[in-house]
Amino acid sequence: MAWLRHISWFTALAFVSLPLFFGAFDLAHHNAAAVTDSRMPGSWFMLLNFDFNTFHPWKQDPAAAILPGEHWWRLYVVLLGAVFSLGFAASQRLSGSESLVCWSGAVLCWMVLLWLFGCDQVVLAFISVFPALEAAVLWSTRPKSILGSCAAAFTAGLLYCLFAQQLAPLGIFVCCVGSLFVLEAKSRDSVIQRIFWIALLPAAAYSVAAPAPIFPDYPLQARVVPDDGLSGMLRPLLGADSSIPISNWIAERYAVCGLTAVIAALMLSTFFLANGTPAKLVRKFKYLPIVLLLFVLGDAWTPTWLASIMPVQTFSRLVPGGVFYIPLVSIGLALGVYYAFRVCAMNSKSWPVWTIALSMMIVGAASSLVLKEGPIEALRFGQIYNADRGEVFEQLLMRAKTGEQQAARQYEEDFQKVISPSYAVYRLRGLSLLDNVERYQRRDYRALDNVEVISASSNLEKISSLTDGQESTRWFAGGGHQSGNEWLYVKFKTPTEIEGVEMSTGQYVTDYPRGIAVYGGSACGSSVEETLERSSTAVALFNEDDWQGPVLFTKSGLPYFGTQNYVRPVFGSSVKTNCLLIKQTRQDDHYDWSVAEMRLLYSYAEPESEG
Amino acid sequence: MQSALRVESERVEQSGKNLGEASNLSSGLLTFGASLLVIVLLSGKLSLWSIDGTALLPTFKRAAACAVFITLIGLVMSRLRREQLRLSRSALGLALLVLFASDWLCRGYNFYQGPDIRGELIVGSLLSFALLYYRGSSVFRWVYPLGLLLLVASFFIRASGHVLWTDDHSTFQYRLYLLREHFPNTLIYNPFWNGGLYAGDLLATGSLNVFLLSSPLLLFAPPTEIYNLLFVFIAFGVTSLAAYYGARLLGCSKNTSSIAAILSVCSSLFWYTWGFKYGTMGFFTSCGLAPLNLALVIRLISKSNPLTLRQSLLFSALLPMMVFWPPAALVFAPAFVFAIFALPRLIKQPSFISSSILISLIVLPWLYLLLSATNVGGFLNKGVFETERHDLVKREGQVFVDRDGEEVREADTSSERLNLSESLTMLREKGMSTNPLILIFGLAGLTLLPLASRRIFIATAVWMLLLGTIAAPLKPQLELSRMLVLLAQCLSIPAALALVSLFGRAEQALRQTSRPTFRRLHSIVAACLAGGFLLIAPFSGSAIIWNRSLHHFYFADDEIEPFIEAVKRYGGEGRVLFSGFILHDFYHAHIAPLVLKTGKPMIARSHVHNVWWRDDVIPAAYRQRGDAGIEEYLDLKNVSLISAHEKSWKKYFEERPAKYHRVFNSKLFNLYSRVDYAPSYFLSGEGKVLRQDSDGVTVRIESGSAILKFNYFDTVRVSACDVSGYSVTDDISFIKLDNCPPNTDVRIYGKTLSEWFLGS
Repeated sequence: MAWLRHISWFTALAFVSLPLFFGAFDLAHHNAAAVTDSRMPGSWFMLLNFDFNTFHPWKQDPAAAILPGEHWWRLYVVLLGAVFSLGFAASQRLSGSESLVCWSGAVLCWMVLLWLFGCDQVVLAFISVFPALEAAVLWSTRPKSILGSCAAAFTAGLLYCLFAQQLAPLGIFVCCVGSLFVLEAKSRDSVIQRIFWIALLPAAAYSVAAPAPIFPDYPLQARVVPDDGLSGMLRPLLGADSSIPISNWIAERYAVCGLTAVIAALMLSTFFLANGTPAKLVRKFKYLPIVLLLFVLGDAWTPTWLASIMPVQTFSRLVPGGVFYIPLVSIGLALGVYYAFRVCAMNSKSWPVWTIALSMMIVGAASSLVLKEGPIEALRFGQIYNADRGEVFEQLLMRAKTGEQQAARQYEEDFQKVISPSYAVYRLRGLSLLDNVERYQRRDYRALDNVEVISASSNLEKISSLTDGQESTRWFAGGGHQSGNEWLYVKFKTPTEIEGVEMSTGQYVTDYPRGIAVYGGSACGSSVEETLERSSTAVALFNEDDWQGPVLFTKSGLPYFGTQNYVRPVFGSSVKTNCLLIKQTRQDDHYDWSVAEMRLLYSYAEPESEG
Repeated sequence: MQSALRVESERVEQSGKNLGEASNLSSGLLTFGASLLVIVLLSGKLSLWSIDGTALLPTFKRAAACAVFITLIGLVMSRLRREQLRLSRSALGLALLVLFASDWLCRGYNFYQGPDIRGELIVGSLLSFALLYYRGSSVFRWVYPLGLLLLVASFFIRASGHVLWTDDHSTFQYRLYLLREHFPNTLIYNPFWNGGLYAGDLLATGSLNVFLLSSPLLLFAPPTEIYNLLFVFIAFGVTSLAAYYGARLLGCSKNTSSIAAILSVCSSLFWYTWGFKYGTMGFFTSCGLAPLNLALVIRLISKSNPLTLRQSLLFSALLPMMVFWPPAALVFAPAFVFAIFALPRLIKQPSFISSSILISLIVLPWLYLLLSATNVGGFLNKGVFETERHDLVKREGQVFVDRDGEEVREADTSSERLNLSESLTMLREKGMSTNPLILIFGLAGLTLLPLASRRIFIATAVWMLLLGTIAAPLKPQLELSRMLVLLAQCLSIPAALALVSLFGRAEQALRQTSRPTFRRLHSIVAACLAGGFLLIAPFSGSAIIWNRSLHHFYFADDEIEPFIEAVKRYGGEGRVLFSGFILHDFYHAHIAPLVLKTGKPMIARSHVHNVWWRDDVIPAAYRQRGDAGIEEYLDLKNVSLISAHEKSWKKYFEERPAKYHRVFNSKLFNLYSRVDYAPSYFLSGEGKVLRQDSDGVTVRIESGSAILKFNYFDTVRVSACDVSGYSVTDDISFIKLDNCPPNTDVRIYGKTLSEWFLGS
């Protein structure tokens, strides 16, 4: 009794998967909209991805717009999962697979996608309707009526646009290429071409109609994300562009790097398992997921200078409509996973689908265990993302809930500032950038006063240069490089209240410290040695392993990093301390660490003088 | 007749497909060595992949020696083996590969903005392979319409309804307006700027060619409303069609002509810079017409394929248009020499006779006016373009400003002597910004031109190269380095010829089913790489339109309209003066058309780019006398509203609220209305200014005589009174009217064309 067998399989699947979903594993936010009520149907808003700092226009799809409640996104994921599964099953049936394999493959594939991408609105919206699009394209090739097939293709394309937005042309293109391999040769070329152009029409119009991204007015020398090490700036060839790099696409690469074992398992499985499938269906189709995943790895595995010319990065620059600002590596990975399951599910025997899914989960979990902090972390949904990166957003939400903000309007303004390309700055320097803007804007750094001892890790004979008032003289660590062990120590005669420190490089503009950690307060000991020892366990007043620069603000109040040679670490709060220990924590083989003058940002209260 | 040229070109294109005629190793070495020499000459040295990469050829001398050595080996080998030397298209592809792998694409001011453009080029190469394999070489003709569509769409999408507003674009909008109103009268007395101008810039700046080409569109709307459309028509429509038709005239196939057309609008970064950024529309239009006119000249002189009657009429119309930007005439000097030698034959050809007569009828009157009505001689000699008919002598302490509005050291401005180092710098600067397909395939493709056209084409190319490099430092005011941009345009035709030949060979190689050989693979790889560069060229052009290059251009800022409205509202009955020195400070463009938009006469130093030294609009003699002197000047010029954009002048007006009341402020400009000032255009006498038009002033004099605050020139004419000049100072001379009849409208205007030609 086939129907009983199918129901049993589904029940088992549900039993396994639903607790995973609704249980202890919460779906963290991976992106957030720049308006508080982003579910207004029909309106565009700017969407920020916390990991990659990508900032692009997006519009809520119909599914999200209709769901009620505070946790609407859980229902959203379930709804999209249902749409995905229906589409997947339909595509598989149209490709000639058994029902059980269709449905089990669908649910497992969706679970893997959730495990990889968590609650990423963009990826889920793109991939959830993709199988339905593919099914519609495959079905469109069947009716004898040209009008029928055109209508089906147009409708499918239009519906797909509502979910995939600016990514719709890309999805339609990949879908048609994939479908090309599944059709009979005699009906292939002309039919697919017709369907492609018809389905593409609404997608292309949608892309053109999508608003240009609204980038903040950063000055040209500003930075918000770490430098990618390439000369010049990666930017789209066509369409609107930010004046400065705002996407942290290095993060995108390294995130995928960590899933290399998963991707390798996928590629191997698809290749070997596909060999058991009827040849006419998968002669070339089996290579599609492998090619897609190789594209993804090409971006993630290669050095930065080579990754910038790999296919995914290249396509992101060539395709207009703001696609450059959407992380395409995630999209490529999602498509690769989808097609891998499609190829495997085409195999007439159902057990390989289970095999691949389970082996993926085992390999993936194992790799995550190795790379991450434990089994809970390894099973967390959203493996491609770093959960910490959404912390600032979570803190902001918490502040709104607990009523720390004075008014809803203040919260709205803060929200607008944080959910911007400056999120990377807030993430690094904290929400004190919102609360204490004046501190970061102060320029009244004053010469050291009330000092008992100044010491350094080396070159003590030059230590007086720190306080001689001359920018042309300097203390430098020596050796022509930075080893990560250099330090400067200042002991005050009496406790001094300060908010930051300035270490001017003077004319030695390239000799800024590559990593800075500043200790004081409870870390101070009676001697420099004791302070050094305490600093290994104490909480730093300021700690940045890769110094990005001082925080400056645009006219609209958005923070950005200034040039790195202006070394002004500002503390999160005012601190009364007996000493300051400033460590240089990073290695650099080419530049020394030089300080021409050291000054302090005193709190507004005058420092206590002796006697 | 035409078929003979066509047959020869087709033979050239087909020769690429016939592998039996393939070039040999010595030809390959010679071609590669020569191409490498060109690359090395333009780049100086070569590093691997990036500027700080491993040095492939660390110094220019070593690099040049290496290239020469390879070339010589090829030559010697051909002698020893007794092989015929042919152009090796595959070797050109190898040279392109060297360029791809070197740091060439990483240097600034490159047409292909590297280093990440390599990704696009790889994708383009793979796509080229697929196209060659599935569709054949003829598919590349589609790059023209699709590429053009991409470029035009990019422009209009970026414009988003705002008019092009950078540098001289605003000036040309104004000049087109003046021509639309007054053509054929190109010398007019314009009271709207600086108290009256009798300027010849409509004659000397190439505005006429823009106007004549745009005139069908200008019938329907004023230029300020359709300027974007006019610009796109000239930039993409005229330029590409000129290259297309020029190639057809030289016997090229439609495929080759299409590729030439798309190459012409993707020829170099400096083509975009001069057209889009600087807005030098006269030069830009002439540049676009250059390939077609060169082809027409070649056909005119050709023994076997002279022009038909229709073509000679076209030539008679297009050559003058090109020459209306005067330096363009220099391009045809070699052709002129060839024509002299062939004169006994040519005078028997009807097309030559008719063309010569028609061109003379059009060009000679213009030339006469140019020489007599403008001080073009002063420009050539002094380097100062005197369009306002008073001396612009450099005064002590003035600072030179270049085309970008940047201040330049004085030592850099006066080099009027042969300077090979500067010539090489100029060559490298323009060469680096040129499309590598034109550099490598264009120069080599000259040898593929039909014999009848080859000599004149090569002579013209060499001549333009010499003008753009050697001659340029001799007359910096002519900016002859632009000849290299013209040269790149013309080379799009031979480049297309070489490319099509290469694609044909690769197509044949792909179709062969026998075992692949090195020669076949080499052809395929070379063709794919060249195809990649060709496919990505429109994207690169679009990237420039989207301001992804180091040269930026702009559209009208939203702040302009409020400024215009404020001037209309507070302008008063007098003139509007822009304090200090203004060049591109009005939102990146000149302020010439503001008189149109506001309807108010204005005074500025300067409203167009005719001054090259920073100079305050209020002469030093008045400024030195402090407030009294400044007030006196403002009264003299009948200024009722002042626009200030410089900090010092803003501060000056802000500190005197009793005299200047701020009525408007924006990010850049403040407007100050003069307090207690009664405007009057009369220095003495009584009367009324009834109307000011762009070609004159209508007044009524009640006192019989009057001195009007309008500039006097000896070309000023008056309808009813006696006119003379009244010197206020050495620099300022006003119109003095005597014996004016009462109750009569008196028209003040400039010397008309008929007076110029017939004398008065």
